[in-house]
Amino acid sequence: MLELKQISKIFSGPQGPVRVLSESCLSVKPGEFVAVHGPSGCGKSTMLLIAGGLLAPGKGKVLIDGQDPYKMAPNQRCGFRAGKLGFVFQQFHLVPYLTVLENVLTIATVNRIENPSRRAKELISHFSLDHRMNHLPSQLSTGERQRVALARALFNNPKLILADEPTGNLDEKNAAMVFEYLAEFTANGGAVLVVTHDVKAAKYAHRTVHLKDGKVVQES
Amino acid sequence: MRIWRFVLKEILYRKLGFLLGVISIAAAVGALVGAFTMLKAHDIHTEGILEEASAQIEATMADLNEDMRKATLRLGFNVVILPAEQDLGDWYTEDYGTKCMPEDYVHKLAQSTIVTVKHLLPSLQQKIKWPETKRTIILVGTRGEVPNMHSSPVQPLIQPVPEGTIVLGHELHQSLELSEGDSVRLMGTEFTVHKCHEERGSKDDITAWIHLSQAQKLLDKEGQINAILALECACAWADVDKVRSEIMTILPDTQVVEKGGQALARAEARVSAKEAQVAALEQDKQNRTWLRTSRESFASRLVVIVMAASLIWIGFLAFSNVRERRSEIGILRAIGFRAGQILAIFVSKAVVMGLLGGLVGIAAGLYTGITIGANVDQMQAGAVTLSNVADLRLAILAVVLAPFLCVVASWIPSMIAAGQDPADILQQE
Ligand SMILES: Nc1ncnc2c1ncn2[C@@H]1O[C@H](COP(=O)(O)OP(=O)(O)O)[C@@H](O)[C@H]1O
Ligand SMILES: [Mg+2]
Repeated sequence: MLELKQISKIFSGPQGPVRVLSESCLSVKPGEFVAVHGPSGCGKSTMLLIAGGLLAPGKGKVLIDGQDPYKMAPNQRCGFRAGKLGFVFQQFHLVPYLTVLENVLTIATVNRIENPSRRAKELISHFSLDHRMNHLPSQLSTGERQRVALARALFNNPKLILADEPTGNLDEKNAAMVFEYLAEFTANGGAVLVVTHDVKAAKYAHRTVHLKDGKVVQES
Repeated sequence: MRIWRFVLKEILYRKLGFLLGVISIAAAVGALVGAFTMLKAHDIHTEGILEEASAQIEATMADLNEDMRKATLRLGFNVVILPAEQDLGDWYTEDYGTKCMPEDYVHKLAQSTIVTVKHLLPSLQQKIKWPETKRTIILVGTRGEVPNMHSSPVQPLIQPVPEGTIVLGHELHQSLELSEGDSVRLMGTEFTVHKCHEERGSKDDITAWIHLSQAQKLLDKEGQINAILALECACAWADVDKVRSEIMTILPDTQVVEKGGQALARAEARVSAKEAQVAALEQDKQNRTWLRTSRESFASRLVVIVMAASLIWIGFLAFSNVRERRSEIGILRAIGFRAGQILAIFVSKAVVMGLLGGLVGIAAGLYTGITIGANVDQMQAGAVTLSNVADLRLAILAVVLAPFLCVVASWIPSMIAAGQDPADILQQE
């Protein structure tokens, strides 16, 4: 589902170039839950954005569902993301002026989806947010916010979910809940790539890898 | 979910920033509409002032005309037409002419196209010894005015003396103890006293007036007169030379003597009065024009300043809105929103802001324009109303211009928003 081949990324920082990734390889198959571990600043987010078609790698190749998003025109790449991917972030990134329902529906603006409001409501129910449907994100707890973000990420039936520290702002109970939902998604055939320094991810992941000196080190 | 949903929901969510923007664009549009309205109120007021002034001049002139008519009547005619051979020295000393000319001259003059002379009065005068009373008097034969065929008919200035009657000067009727209705004989002819004049302190006091034809008969000068008194017409009364030359071309063997200088002075005063008033009106006009120019330049400067300030302010608001919405922009772009759609969200907001601001601005501009316009010129309420200053084209312009300005002002921030790299935003965790 996702293949990162020999990915290198060098940022030009104020004190000269910073090599973040060097010839990293990683693949995630459909139905697979992969966790990437590593200390803060090791390049996890960079790797995830590259995998998500949001940041072009300096060298190497990215294939999502067999297609290289960086060979597409920018607008085509947008459509590609809207069709195939789901994103979850530590900061939730909910749209503050939209209700829970509208946040989940957001992608319907750019992607055709059958019966969008029914699907959105089903997801809201699934994440036990029925009573929060018409609330604004600011009225929710952090756990609820991340569940809304998960619902939004699932709304377009993605093939791959990319999660960047999804439990970073959550307590243990909510963190476990998030990993359970992600595991459930892979059980239904979806692929998940989580980058995190949360060691509990290993409990849910099929595979955990480490990012060290810009390289992916296989573990279990 | 459509783009407009994002726009409206965001506006409702961040009301304050939006309201500040609306107020700002309303101020710009308000300044523009207000300036136009105020200038229009000024024009309406100017029109009113000048109309009033013109009407006043006309009324004053009408009054003066009437005064003039009366005054001239009392003072006598302005020119006397005498036969050419009349010795002026004699005429001045005797106060009447000794030479005669045909009475027909009067008709010749009356039928000519002469327009400078409006009133013509033929007369035959002679100093005689009143045989029945042994008094020396001046006998004047007159027959009232001969209307000028070519000017508008005017009320006769002199009441004609009916045939068979006599009008007596003050000294005569006093000393002869005669009063109106009495009979008196003059050179063997019986006359009824038609009128007794008040004292005038002039030769009129020893003058007796009878009808011209009877005077001609009594003095044995049938068909003859020795003077034509002419009252000049209103359009040329000031120019004696013109009157004189006109008369001389029609009646070459006559001479024209100016008389009644006092009336002339009056007439000239009237001319200068009119000139003064016209000059004052002209001055008024110039003042109003000057005022208009200075108000216009003030208004245009104000409009430019307010507009510039408003644009900068809206740009600033848009910029801070974009900063505030970084997270939103990042996630929307990640989810698959195209840069153009992000641009559309921000531009649509500017359009909504502009439309609303434009409408508020038009209302505020009309209100302040009318109020200021009326106050500055101290116009009575109702002189400037919505219906006579409101300009549909201006309103349309404002409604189109305001969103346009708003989009222009927030264009750069909107482009920044659309051009933001989602990776930059999403990596900052
Ligand atoms: N746009 C950028 N320009 C320069 N340096 C960057 C940029 N993005 C990330 N980096 C640097 O790359 C390194 C890896 O960052 P990141 O992938 O966010 O790490 P992690 O998510 O593992 O904490 C950090 O040292 C960071 O400072
Ligand atoms: Mg990170």
